[in-house]
Amino acid sequence: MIIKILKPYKKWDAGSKVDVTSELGAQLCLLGIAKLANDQTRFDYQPKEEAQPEEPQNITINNYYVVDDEANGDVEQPKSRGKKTEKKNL
Amino acid sequence: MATIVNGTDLRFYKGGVAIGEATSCSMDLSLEVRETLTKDNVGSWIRNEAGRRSGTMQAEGLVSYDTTNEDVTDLFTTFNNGDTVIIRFTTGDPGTPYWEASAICTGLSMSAAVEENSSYSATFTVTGAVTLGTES
Repeated sequence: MIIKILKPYKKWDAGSKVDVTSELGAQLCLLGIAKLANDQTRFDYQPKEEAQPEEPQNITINNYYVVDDEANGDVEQPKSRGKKTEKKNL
Repeated sequence: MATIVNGTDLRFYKGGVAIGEATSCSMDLSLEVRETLTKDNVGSWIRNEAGRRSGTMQAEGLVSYDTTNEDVTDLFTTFNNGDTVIIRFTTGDPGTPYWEASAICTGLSMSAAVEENSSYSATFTVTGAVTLGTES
């Protein structure tokens, strides 16, 4: 339990909070040296913030190179496969 | 589904006060067996019976000189004096179990690396029995 020291005791100053066992806490409270702290959260424990799920991002496709190349006629045309058949004029 | 105890909540209390800025703690108990082997043991299988029990409790943490809980100077004083202290391993929550034993601080080490948190490790060797109780 977390107790709040009311009077200086051992190494503790008045107002300091200490994490003690329930027996020692009850003993110190009975002697009027301490009281039960309102906040029982351990002060040396910092809970991690929960990570927020990332929102999906819009994907922008940047294809202006292709457009420019097509405009300039630099786009390499796919080569045809297979044998070229010449039509003979009979 | 059963609730698993968060390791953060289980900690050591030395003389009723939490060991401060702790990052990890462990309790190791062991039992040695008494081996018995006579000509009467069928097939020469060893018969074992419970023998001596021992235990250690180890706490690791970060060095702080102004924690209101037990700091490394308190641990050193206990070590240097060879004091027997009560160590309790508990979450502190009412109705939950705790393990408690008298122990002597038999090891204390500190580590300080550049641009890293200084840390300590304390080992307590149990003297006597480890008892199981319930937090009130």
